[in-house]
Amino acid sequence: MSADAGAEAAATVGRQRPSARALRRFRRHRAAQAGLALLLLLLLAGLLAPLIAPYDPNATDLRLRLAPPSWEHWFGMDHLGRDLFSRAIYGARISVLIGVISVGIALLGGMPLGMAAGYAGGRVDRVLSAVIDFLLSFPPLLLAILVIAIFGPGLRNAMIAIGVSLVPVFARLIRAEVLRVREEVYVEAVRALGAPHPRVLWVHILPNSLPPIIVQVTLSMATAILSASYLGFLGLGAQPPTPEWGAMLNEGRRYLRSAPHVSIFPGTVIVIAILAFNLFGDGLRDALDPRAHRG
Amino acid sequence: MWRYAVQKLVLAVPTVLAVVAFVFVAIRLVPGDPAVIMAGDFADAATLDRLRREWGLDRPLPVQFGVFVSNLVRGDLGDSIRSRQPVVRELASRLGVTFTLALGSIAVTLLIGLVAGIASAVRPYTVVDYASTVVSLLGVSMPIFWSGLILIIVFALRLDWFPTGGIGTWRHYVLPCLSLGVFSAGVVARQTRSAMLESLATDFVRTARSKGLPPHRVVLKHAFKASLIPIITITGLQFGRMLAGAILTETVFSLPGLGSYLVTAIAQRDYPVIQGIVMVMALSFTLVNLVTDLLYPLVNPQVSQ
Repeated sequence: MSADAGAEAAATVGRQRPSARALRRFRRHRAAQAGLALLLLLLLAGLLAPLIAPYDPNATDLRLRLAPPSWEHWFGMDHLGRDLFSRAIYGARISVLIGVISVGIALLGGMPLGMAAGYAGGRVDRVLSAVIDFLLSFPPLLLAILVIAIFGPGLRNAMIAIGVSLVPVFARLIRAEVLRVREEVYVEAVRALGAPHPRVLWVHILPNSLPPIIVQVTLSMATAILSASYLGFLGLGAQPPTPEWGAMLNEGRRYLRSAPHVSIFPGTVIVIAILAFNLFGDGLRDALDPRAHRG
Repeated sequence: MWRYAVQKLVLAVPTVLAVVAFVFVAIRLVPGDPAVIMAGDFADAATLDRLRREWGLDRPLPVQFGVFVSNLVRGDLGDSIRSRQPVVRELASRLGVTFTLALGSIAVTLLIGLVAGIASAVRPYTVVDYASTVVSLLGVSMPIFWSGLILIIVFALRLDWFPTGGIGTWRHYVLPCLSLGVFSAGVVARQTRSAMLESLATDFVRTARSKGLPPHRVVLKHAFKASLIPIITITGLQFGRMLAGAILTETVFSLPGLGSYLVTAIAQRDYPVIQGIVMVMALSFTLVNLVTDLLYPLVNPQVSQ
């Protein structure tokens, strides 16, 4: 009895749970941890913006127009005398919102498409795959701009446009994952036992396809925030006075010679945010995907 | 080889038709009456009726599409609502700027991407490799407009080496091409690194080395040639991103190309122009994909079999 228990314990240690293994790999990935730390900071800044921001992001003080960085105003002031540091913090809130909503839309659209194509196979797959490949052949930013051209500029439409432009990315990934998991023996077993299709998909296939989807969600957040800043910069996304990073940078463009800080700080914040998502996403991929860790 | 090329050309026809149909339908999803949008809110009913007849808006959508395609084949994309000039003429005058920008940027991308990628593959896990990885990551994470603005601040405003924007001489293109090219160089560098690492570990490279060939010949002739397919693929894909990126670069550097014109057209709700530019951009991307496909067998004859 005790010998059996000992053997069982040894087996448990030897066969570590995949999640524990992934966590161990992630802990060894220093760049990914730096990314995670930056992301947490970004999230906190976004959530606690009203508590952290030293000033009202929209309060103007025309006497301090374009004032350079100082102890009172770390990032300096913009062309209307608004505190850039406070605006950057509120911008984090908007960027996190953009990331979550856009990627949410992409998942909502991509998941049924990818699942239907991968699970049904045959003609359904051929037609859906042709549509997905066709949409993927458009650069995402061009697709987003086309959506904006149709429905008009603004933050809400920008989030929808970015979400739509990311739908084919998720559809293709989820299709590939469903195709892979569908062939596993345990899926064959539950199907042979007569489980209905929705149950097979939701309970057995989807949870086992999650790791690459989670990685894609992280990397797509970076794409979404970057695209939103592009749209904001072009005047097609968030409109003034919304403190969106891209729009802030655009507002500062006219003062590059006299007050470059108005553009430099929002730009730096975007670079740090995108870098954080990319570092975290890459680390997550290395941790979750054993194939990437053959060495 | 020829059979492969013809096959790819034939396969491109439905893609081109799909792109044209997609853009045509997308533009017609614009909420509201197109005649009112084009003529303005204050146009009277008679004018609107006349416009609907003139532009064929009163006919069924498939008929409209047929007319549109036949006009397109004859090089007619309609007239701009704002300038009243033929869209084709408006685009032709701006296409050269965007084309020069794209070519210059691809040159920058390949130069930086290939050198960094090969250098880090030849000396993996050394300072060279880490430096190249960091630069690649920065390139991928840096918004195009931000690198553009930094270049303007440093090289145009502070050092006064290049103009801040506009067109005129080759000097006007240096900063825009650098800004747009660096954006894709990181991706090309990463892809080149992994492809080169793979081919440097193959038997034929080991054979070439053991024959006593000089190292640069082994790397550039043998290993690099074998890595070309993924590098061509990623460069082709980057071209598409570059066309979209040109919209930003042209705005930052006030270049009168297709991209900056698209932004103006969206602000002015000039739908024939929007339709024309999106179509030209999407079709250029399809063309680049086709060229990429046609390059494969030149690099590796097995592809065409």
